[in-house]
Amino acid sequence: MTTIIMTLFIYNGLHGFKRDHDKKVAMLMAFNQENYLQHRLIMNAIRSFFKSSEGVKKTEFEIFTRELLGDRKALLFTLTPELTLGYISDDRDLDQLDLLVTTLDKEGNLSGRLPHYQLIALAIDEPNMPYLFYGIPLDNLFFSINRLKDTCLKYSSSQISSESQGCGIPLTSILPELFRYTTELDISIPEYNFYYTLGVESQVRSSKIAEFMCMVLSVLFICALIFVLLYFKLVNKHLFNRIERENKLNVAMVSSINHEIRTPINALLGYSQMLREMPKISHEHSVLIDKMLWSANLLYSVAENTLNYSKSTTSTLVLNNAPINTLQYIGNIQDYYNKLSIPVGKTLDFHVSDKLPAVINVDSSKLFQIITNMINNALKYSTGKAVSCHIDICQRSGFNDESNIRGSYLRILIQDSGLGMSKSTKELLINPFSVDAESKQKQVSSVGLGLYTCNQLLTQIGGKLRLHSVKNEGTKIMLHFPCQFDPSRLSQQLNPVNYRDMGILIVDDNSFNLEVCNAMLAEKQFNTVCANNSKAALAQFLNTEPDVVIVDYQLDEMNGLELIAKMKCIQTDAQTQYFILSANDKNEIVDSECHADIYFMQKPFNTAIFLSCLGRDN
Amino acid sequence: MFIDISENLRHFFCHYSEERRLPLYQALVGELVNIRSKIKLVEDNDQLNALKHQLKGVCRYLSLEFDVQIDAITRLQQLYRLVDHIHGQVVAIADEL
Repeated sequence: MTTIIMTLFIYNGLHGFKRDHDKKVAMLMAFNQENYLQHRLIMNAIRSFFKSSEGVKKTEFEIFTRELLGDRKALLFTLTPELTLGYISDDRDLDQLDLLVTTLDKEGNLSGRLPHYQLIALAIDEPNMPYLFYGIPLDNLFFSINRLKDTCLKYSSSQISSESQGCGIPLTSILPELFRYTTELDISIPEYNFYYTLGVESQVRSSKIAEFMCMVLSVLFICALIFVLLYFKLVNKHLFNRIERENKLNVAMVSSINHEIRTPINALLGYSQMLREMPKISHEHSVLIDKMLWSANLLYSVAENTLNYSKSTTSTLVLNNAPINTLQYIGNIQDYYNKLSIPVGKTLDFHVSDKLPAVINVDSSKLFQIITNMINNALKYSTGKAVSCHIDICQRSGFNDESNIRGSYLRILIQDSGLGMSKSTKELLINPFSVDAESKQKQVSSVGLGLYTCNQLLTQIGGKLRLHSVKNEGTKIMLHFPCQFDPSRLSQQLNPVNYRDMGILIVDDNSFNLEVCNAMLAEKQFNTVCANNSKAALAQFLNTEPDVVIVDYQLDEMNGLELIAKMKCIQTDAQTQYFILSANDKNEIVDSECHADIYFMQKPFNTAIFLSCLGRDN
Repeated sequence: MFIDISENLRHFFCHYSEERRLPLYQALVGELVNIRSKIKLVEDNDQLNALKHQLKGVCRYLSLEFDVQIDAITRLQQLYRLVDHIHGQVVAIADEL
């Protein structure tokens, strides 16, 4: 590419110089043409003058030639048969004729040479003076060309050779030779036996050459710069892709390790629990078992944090909201800590607001992870005895977006009464691997992943973690966790409902997914029919007239939305409720927002989510 | 690295009544065999992605957190080994159902 650009640029530059040279040649030609016509006119006029007059007198010749030549420095004179001077246009030029050399050829034609003049000999009809000479001064010829700088004009005829002032400039280097252009023009006036050659040689000015070379070097530099930038861009892209790939592999590895770790942790928790419930366990052993349980709980928390940390760094976290019974859920967390036997000397109290709805729609597993993480931290690191957890709900504008759309948030305040967090501990909120000097002194192990992960997780899902710690007073952590609630509808859906009369058509080309979905809905007593392709689905739709249709988005012949469109064409007045089941998020499905009456559910099929949408106006 | 998923499989099947377990098990084995046989016929990246998508759906129902591993798959052999591994573990718990 650089070579092409350079070639084009140099070609264009050199072509420009050549064009300038050609302009000079054209100008010279025009000037020469004008002179040529003038000379012909003069020669024809003087010939006619002698032809029409008999015995031209000297005064007549002088008057006529003075009028004819005007300001021109040309010379007209006649010679007798003895080659002595007859008449001359201007007596002041007599001295110059001393240098006149004449030659008579075999055919009787006379020619002459006179320095600084181009002489043209004419035969005239005058017996006493048969030879007429018209002398054109070379100075006149070179006058204009001398005005053109860096241009050399060479005049060459059988009589004389001469060159302009510009020809005397010597070349100082080889480079200007490359910028020198030469043109030779052969001009002839055959009727007067007059031939001459004009050579035009023009040299590009050194300032222009320098300018051109600077431009060439600049273009070369820019091309090289672009090449280097492109090279670095490619290298960066390659590096970025590699880092992204390695990051994914790292997350995959962490996920695998996490999976491997959680199985023995669960076993440890389970067996410890079993051991604790065994009869005849001494108090001493019971304390040890409690410690084991607590450690296993912390280990489980670390494993969860590690996985979520990896996911949050690659932005793969998504919320899986489902309706939960709020009080029952908080009770489960309390039970969890009751079973664990929290560290000796510590107390944990839960305070739940009366305003908290009975049912909320929330990602329960992430909420559990965040609450337990913060409570674990308070129990593990605070120097005070009491840890409390206050839970209520609030309506407020979003934390991450600038739009003032109000949303519901579970507000959880976890408070301890210890010495408070040090500055370095607070840094763990934004830097997960900073070393907490005080924890090190107290020999408390900490990688700070929990605080950081919870903060990241909440930020990603549109929530907020606020930390307020005062020395010798304790630490308050306020969590805002996004949720949705509509007590009137959600509570109704959680009530036992008879689904036996409700017909559901499930369409999925993946037989296992179809079977699982069918089994889940059959467990809830729904009346289900299945189809593993769109043709069978349309046939079943006609036969059974289902109340609900659940369609996998990616089918073999057509996508789920196209199949639903066909079903709607078949039964235009039916009150069928349609659901699309997809591995992708609703936003990732093309034109999903155009189908307000279709519910989009993410795989795997979740009965609770499905039930929460059932019968709801979208 | 392949993970022991037998506990996940047991956990999955124990959610369903005994009469539902066998059809579910057969559907799962059938789907895995189907994916495995389709891998041999894959000719381009789109077909590979479709199979990855199919396997991801199955894994999600089994509560296997394999999304990241499946996304990282670039070669047919990797996908085949993963499907074969899941299939092997599913077959191994057949007697327990």
